[in-house]
Amino acid sequence: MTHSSLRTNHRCRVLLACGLGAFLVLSLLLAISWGAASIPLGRTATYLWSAVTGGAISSSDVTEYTVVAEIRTPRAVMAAVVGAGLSALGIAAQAMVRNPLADPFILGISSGASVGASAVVSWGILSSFGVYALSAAAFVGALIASVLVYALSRSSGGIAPVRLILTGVVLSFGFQALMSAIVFFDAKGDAARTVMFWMLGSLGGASWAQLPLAGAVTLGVIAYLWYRAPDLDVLSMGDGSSASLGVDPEALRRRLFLLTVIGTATLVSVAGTIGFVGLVIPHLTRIVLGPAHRPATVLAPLFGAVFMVWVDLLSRFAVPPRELPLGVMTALIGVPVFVLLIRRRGYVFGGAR
Amino acid sequence: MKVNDALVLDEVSIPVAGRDVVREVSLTISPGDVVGLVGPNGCGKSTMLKALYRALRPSSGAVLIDGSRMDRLSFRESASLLAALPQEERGDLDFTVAEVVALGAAAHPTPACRTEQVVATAMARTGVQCLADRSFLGLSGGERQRTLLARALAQRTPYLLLDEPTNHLDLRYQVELVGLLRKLAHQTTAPGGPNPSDDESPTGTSTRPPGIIMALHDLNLAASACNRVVVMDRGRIVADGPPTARLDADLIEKVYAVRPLVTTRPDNGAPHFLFPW
Repeated sequence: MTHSSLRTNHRCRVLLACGLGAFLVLSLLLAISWGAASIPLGRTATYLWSAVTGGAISSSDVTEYTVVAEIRTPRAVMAAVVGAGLSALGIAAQAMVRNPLADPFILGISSGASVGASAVVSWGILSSFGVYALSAAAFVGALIASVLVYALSRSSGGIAPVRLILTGVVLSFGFQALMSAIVFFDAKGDAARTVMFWMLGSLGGASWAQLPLAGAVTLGVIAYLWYRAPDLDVLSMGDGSSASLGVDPEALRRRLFLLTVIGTATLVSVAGTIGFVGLVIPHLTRIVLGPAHRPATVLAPLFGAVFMVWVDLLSRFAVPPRELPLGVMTALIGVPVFVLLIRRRGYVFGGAR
Repeated sequence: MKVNDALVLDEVSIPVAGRDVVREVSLTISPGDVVGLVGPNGCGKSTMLKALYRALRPSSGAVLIDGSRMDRLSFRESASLLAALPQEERGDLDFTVAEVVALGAAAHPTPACRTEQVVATAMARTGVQCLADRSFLGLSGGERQRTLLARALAQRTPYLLLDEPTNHLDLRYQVELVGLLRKLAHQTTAPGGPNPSDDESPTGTSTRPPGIIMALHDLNLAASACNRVVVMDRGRIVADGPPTARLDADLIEKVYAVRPLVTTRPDNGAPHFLFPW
């Protein structure tokens, strides 16, 4: 059975990772070549090659080249980065609070970010940041929210998982109310739509300028989780076991908190709050690979990247000429797939079958 | 106070939710000790063990392990000196029994080629080798308890803390546990390690029997299985010594408010208590 061989056999997992990597490259190529004006794969590859090598292209191809190199490529790559990052952060969040319902937004990050975003849309704050005003405000809003959650859920014994979840959920309600109030009192009236579209996630604004930061943060998150993966396995046994097995649960939880906040705030500021990926991809990975964290930290980001590239691709095609928000698309694809998977396998998390 | 080959509590107080549950307790556990920690509910047995395996932090006093202050050691260092069987912890993820035991082996620097052997030895000692590929979360309470004990043994530490090790165990495994503890107390390598004849000891240094301390509810078990009992009451130690000398009807009545009938076991001469029910 593939399930057990993937779980125990290292070579099978390496093969799967290579396969997914190759499929990701293919998906990226497709996402770049397909669009309102489709460009054949061969020409797409040629443009990409000349973009990388700085080769010359004929003047008649300049429009197509610009579409490929300046619009579709950064968008497709950003989709992969965001998908990979949110999946890795989902693993971090679930390990941190030891709860299967956790996702990167559990710490009130998404609602904090939405307050920042709606403040930009309605009040025009941070206008000196120009096109980055929304990103900057979302980032700051996310940081403020998570600092508040941390401060309020802290006690002498560190941050207790359940209190962290409850504080995060409660503060999320508070920030959502604040965001609603800002939008409600907006004079222009179209703020609600703009904010909602942003909250459901979009990669329409992805540019080369944002990629290095988002890419570096995502790689950093994945690398750190890979390095600490054995400790995450230990943490899942419970705090007492963890301490006796040589992993300080409080220290690890603090690091995971910091990692989740920085990673999620960065990704939210470039792509909005794309839900579902960070919750589902970690579970999907564990269903396929078993519970160990080290293989999951490599494969969940790959799954997430492939998933998000296709989600973004489909969201551009579903209702032309408009784009479906990514949050809608992730749910449309993810919900049935996930429900089927958890029903089929004897999947266990949190002791619940 | 500094003792180089012992686990020492020096005037340790441990708060839980703001209240000192263990108050200025001093205790020394030496290699070869099999200490039964007994006392009524809420007397601080588990709290004291939790502070020893670092799930709780003492508010005052010091814990010294082989001469080093525990709070100056990294968690990884202390986990290679002291293993624990915590009470009532299930974990969340669907690891197999062998994977859970391997977490214990990994807490101790082990060459990868030896891990499998360490895990197999530890599983064999608690009788869970036949469950190796079963899901840990799908086990019965007793099977889970034996798996966690195997995990602690796989850490091959010179000190072993067991919090209610007989919980959920049926009669057979309770008896086997006592036998295992006796064997451990008389062997000269760390628990879970290879046979004494194997000169490639993974720890390299441990040529002494382990020091074992376990919280127990069953006084008869404590009297028979341990060479030393420590009786706690309301956060303090009220008696400490060999069971034959220290466990008597007066002390038990004072601590538990129940007066037992005391007899002597015909086989090993340990005191045996009959309770008025």
